[in-house]
Amino acid sequence: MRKVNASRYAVASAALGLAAGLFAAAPASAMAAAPSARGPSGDVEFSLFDNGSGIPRNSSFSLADLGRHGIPDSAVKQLGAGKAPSTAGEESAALSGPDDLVGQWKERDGWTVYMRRGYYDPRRDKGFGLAKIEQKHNLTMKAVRATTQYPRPGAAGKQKFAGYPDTWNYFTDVLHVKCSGWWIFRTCRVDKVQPVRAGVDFSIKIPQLPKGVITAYCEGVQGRCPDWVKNAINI
Amino acid sequence: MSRQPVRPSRTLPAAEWWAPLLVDLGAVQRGSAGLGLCVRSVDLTSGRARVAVRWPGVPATTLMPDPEAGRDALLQSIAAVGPARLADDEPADSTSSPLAGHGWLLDELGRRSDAWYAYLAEPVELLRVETDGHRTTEVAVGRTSRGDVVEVRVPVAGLGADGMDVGLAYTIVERAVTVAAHALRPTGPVQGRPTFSTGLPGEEPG
Repeated sequence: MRKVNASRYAVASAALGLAAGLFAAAPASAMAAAPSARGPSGDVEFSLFDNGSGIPRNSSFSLADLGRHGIPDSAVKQLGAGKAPSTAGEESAALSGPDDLVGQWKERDGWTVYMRRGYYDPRRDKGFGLAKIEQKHNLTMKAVRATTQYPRPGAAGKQKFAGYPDTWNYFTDVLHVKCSGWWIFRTCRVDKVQPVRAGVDFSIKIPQLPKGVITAYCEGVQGRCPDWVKNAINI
Repeated sequence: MSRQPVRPSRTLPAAEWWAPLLVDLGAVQRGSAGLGLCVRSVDLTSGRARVAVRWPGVPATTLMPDPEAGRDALLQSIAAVGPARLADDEPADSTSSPLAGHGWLLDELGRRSDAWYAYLAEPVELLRVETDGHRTTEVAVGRTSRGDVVEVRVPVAGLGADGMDVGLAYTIVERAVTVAAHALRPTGPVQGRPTFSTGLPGEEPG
């Protein structure tokens, strides 16, 4: 019992500490008495890849709680001020052909995922790789990376589709969140969930490495995913 | 919650029941193109797979393989009828014969069965894959809610040879549900349903 209370105290202290730190760093405008719709009060909307940290889907939570789900304090402060958090851009390399590698990373289980430049021909609706993912499905390399690194827990997040060579699908959920209230004390709620799926071929040698990501898409969405999927604040 | 296969495979629960069979048939077709084997049709309309195979000068033989028995068992059943062997593990062969292209397409359809239940909002089902062995393979797509079928014709010469056709399964499925009425030609019914024929996007109808 004492242990439980101690644990609760620690969590409460951490939350208060975060709030106090954020409060001290609040911009002057956020402290002003007259809130604006796009400032520290009013509605704020954003999206998150579900990284398995337990973001509540069926109950409300405070904007300040996002710190516990891996969102940097700076991003929480920007959301509190009614601004979109800035995210790192993706570098583009000089490229020459569809099979050029444009990215690689380790997925959840440490396997190397390769992303090729690919191509997309809208007239013939043909293509693969990053070009198709960006141009047809309105996703990004960061979104695909997040899908493979933070799929749903266990087997539900990563499923084999064929052997000889291996083809796998990764599944994750992107959460759209609406918050209302004031600054980091806004009350937030998940109002939309979009499953995202990425298909990866692991063993085909092109010429010495796997083909990699074939495509990624929002389930049941023909063509372009909503912008809020690729604009998630935690990828 | 993700979308689930209409009828999941026993061994690959996120894939459709016919997916392992098509991948394995692809391996046999690619490996046996030079031996004259043509996997003439794969009919899934009854809920069991009926596979028609033939060789030049020999009447077609219909097999009813267990879709998940594995490629060795499949090869054994086909080789009992005529010459056949498995391809190497890599589907990205540089061969460009129509039969090798047909084998590549069987593999592509099998390994991306998510195209049939997760890719689009409209429900679709794979009913049949049939080839003339020379020019085209027709993929019969059931449009469940419309009660009809669209056969998408895929030219097979050179298909898959340069690695640029990967992902074609998605193209075929989307074509079947987005094709304009004027690009559809009536053809013989599949499973008793009104059936129409069309080409891939950007190709001539007819």
